[in-house]
Amino acid sequence: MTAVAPVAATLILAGCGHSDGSASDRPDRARGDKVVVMAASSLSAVLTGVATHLSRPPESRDGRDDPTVAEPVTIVAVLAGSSALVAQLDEGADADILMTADTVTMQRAVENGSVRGQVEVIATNALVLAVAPGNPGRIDSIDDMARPDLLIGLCASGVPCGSLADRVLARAGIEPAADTRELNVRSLATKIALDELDGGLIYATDAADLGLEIVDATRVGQLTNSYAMASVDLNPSAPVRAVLAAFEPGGIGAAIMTEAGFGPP
Amino acid sequence: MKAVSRPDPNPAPAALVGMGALALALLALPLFGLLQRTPWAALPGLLTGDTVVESLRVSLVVSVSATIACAGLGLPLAFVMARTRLPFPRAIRAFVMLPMVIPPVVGGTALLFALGRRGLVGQWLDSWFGIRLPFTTAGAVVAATFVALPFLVTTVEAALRQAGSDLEEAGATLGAGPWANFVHVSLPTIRPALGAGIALGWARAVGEFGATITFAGNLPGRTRTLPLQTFLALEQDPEAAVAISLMLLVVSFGILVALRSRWTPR
Repeated sequence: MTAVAPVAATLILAGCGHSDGSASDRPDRARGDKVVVMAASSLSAVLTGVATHLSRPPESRDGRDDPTVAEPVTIVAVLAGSSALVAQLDEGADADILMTADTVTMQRAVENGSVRGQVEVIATNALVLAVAPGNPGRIDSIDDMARPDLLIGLCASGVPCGSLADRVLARAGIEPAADTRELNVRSLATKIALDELDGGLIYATDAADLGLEIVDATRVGQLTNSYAMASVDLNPSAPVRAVLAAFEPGGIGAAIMTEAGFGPP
Repeated sequence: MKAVSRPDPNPAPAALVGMGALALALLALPLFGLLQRTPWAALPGLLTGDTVVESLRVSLVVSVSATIACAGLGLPLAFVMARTRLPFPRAIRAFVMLPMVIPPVVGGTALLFALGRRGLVGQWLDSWFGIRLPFTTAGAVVAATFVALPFLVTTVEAALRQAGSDLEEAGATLGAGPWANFVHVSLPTIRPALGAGIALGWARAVGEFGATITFAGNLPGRTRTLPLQTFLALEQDPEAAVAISLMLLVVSFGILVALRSRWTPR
């Protein structure tokens, strides 16, 4: 499922002395300074933070100096499972940047020609075994995922968090007694947080974002996914370049990802 | 439709014909888009693959169970709505129609908060009877029943109102009790509408996606119905997605054509 979240407004305050007449004389696309970012649903909190930051004029960006972005940029975030995003792009969805939760899925977008910019790995993420508030299923290790009496959730095999979960479970030699394979990691995390599921394998970052208790971290977190980013166009416009730069080392996006618990690339 | 060669006695204005044709094109075009993308040679293989057959089985179990539940619950509701003086009739009607107009995902979320194991009613179902609906086939049946029920209730209620209660009053005068009247007088008069309502409800249940994925989850062999399989296939194997979509479209189209010729007056 796709959630379109216009996470920032293009308000430029009159009187802040900032030039706002340049949008019309740049050869950008018709949508002006709006940058459409299709991102894996596990990046939703990060994108919200980056969007808030880039929507402000540089001089009022909470002390984080980011010389790469000269003007306010509005990010329109399209969040879904990575493979759903790749399918939407392939069917002609209009977007500027694609961010996937693994490199395999990004490779599919490169191979079918819907992404032409250079692919960069921006971060890594590990899975955790998150349990419902109060741990009603008394889950204390990954072995418990084989217990049929529990309600266990995993991501669908086709999305990155699901294929990583399959690899983690195979490596631990566990046949999971899964009760659902959710289409993206956020819907899985939400159902655990709502106590409709006893536990499931979600990203460390989503568990941290929702404040979920995690168990057996060492055995679950040995494998990681690499998050990939690429511009849809070969020659991206200035606002798009600004958003891409934010996710490079030293950029605001990279800083927010580190704070959220993502690992270095 | 019957082919008619004699001139229309009451021709429509050209502008209306044009706009009408545009509307029809909007409705029919997607089907042709699908046909154009259909891999005909691979179709038999795609539709008999293990994952498709498994989803088909789940879809049949879920949709037939939901249709039975619709008939069992919807017919009484339609009868009560048509024949008795209920308080707040507009509110009741709105409740009946609601699943038709709200996004199914909203319906699924609402079902989760009502019947989930921490839900309003679901917590008691769980602690008293050990019944858990989310992530089960029974949950998928509940979701499908939720979205299909309005089709049956509105169809049957309209037929009951149209038929009027004269025959039932005559039956009562002749000494038939309310139950005998319902079975021997009311039911036979609305049988065509009941059939239409059941077929429409079934078609809606087969096509259900949003409430199912939200409330019942997605597990092969348990809750992964054909529409869910289609959505997954679209991301990994678009040809399979087209094949399943075509099958669903053909079945629904067939039901509607059959309904038109069998049950509705021309």
